[in-house]
Amino acid sequence: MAMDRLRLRISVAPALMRMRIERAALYLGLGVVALLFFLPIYWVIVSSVKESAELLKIPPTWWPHSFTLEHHIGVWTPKFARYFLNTFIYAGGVTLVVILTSPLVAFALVKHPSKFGDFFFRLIVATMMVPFAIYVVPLHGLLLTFERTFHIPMLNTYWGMIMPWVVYPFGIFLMRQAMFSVPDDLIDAAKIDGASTLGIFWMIVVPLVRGHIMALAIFSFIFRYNDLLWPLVVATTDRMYPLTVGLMEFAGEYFVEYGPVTAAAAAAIAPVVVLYIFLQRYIIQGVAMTGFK
Amino acid sequence: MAERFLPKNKVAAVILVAAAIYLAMVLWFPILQAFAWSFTDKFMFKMSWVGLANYHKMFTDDPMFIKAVQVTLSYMLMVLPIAAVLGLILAMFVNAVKNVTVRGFLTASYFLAYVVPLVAVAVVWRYMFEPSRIGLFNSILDKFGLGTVRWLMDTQTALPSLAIVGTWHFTGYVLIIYLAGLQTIPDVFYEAAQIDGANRWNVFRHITLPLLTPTILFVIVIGTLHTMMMFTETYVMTSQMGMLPGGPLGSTTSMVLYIWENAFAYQKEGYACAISVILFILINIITIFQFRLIRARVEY
Repeated sequence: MAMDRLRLRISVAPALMRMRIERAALYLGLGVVALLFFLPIYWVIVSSVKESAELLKIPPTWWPHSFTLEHHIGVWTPKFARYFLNTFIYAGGVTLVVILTSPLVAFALVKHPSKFGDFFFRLIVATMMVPFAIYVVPLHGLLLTFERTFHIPMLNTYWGMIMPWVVYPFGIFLMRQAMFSVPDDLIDAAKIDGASTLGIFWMIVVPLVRGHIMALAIFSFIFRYNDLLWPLVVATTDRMYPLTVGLMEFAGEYFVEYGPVTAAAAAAIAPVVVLYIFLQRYIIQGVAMTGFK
Repeated sequence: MAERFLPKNKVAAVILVAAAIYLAMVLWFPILQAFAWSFTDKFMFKMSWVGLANYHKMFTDDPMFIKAVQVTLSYMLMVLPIAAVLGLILAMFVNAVKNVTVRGFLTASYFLAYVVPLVAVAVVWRYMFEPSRIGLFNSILDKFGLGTVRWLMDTQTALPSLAIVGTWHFTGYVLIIYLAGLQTIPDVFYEAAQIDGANRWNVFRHITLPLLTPTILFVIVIGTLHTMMMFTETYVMTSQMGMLPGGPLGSTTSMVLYIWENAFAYQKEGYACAISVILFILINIITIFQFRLIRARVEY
């Protein structure tokens, strides 16, 4: 009996050993690639705390020899703070609107089926993949038309920036998936109890699709936060620049001064990194959800 | 199938009609307008019909346009194959990691490259690409005695440099998509293969690859769209003071950048729309081709 067990252990040991070595190699390999991927972000951080002289050193230093917060402090001019504020109003505003309209439209589509709704959704799917750059010029024209016919300022305004995203095909598509998981029985029960349509939506549907709404909120925020093309078209004065456009000005102003530029970049990256750390689960799930169904 | 034209519920009907009108205004109508304007010389509120003149000029009298098409296609061919293959390899290895914490860290560092604002990181890429030896890459090359490269400053290397950034940015996204795809493959297939004594290559070739084909198709189609829309990379990394981005000598002017230049710098909106139409058609042709090619292989 004891002999058998020993023999077994001897025969298993090399396989076990091989598994361990393989696992170590796997972790090591993936770790090295992960570090390579992280390198640019690391470089933003270390460069932003090096003193100006060290930034021009040949060869560049992997670990800062000097440490200064002067770039980080210097970057926070009123102008830069304004860029930040603009970005948060743009990305945050779009997100608030999108998480309201997308579930509403999806609710109407799924829980109140109609021929018009079917056609509407088919059109959404057909045009969802049309890249923004294809129709950016007419969209700019639309803003100009609004200004001329209704005398409402559109260029250099927040609503002008938010306008193209108010009804968001991607959001409707995502929320439509979620609506199928809401049981009709619940809705019928509420209807019998005398709840209004919007009451049902608010009290029953929204709590059940909260996960999807969360994913949509994160995505819409990150997408708009990183947006460059549309803000570049709408915002023509630096008072209205969001961060992405403002950073460009920065790079132009301090052409080789990498200290301020990397500090500004670090400030722009920080909110997204924080968001990612706290909401990683939703983000990963969200990509999987939108990528597939 | 729904019977009624509009929902009986008035609130739902109002929501649907309002949403449709809004989308028609900001999406469908502008798409049609892009086509219509491509036959005009529109700028601001002046517009007259010019027939096919824009298209004629594009193909006979505008070397910059031809260049932009070349740049766009080469960029796609540089980024997409590498991101699609590297993403798959990494995803399979990450999928083999069972430790949840390690896995979380790995996905985070790959995926952060995608979620972080490209404009912000492009600034630091530019620093790493410095043509002198204060740039990280040149200092490394120099250390190994390989000389230095002028990266973004050379017409030969500028686009490949942007492709490096683009690949770095896009691979993380691709990886997450593949990971989700891999997790939909039931374990029983792998267990069965193990019992039959299949080696790793056979498992990959006959189980993973066929079952992952829809995911791969998705990655390729989205990747084509994404890479052919390249704008941010070149706009941020090739702009010099007082000059339009897309240099040196137009070697990084993508089609989207060229659309933007024509519409908002040269004041030729009609012409910009004509380029949009060509880009749209180009993307559609490539995507249909990809669907045909890969669909043909899904059939088992």
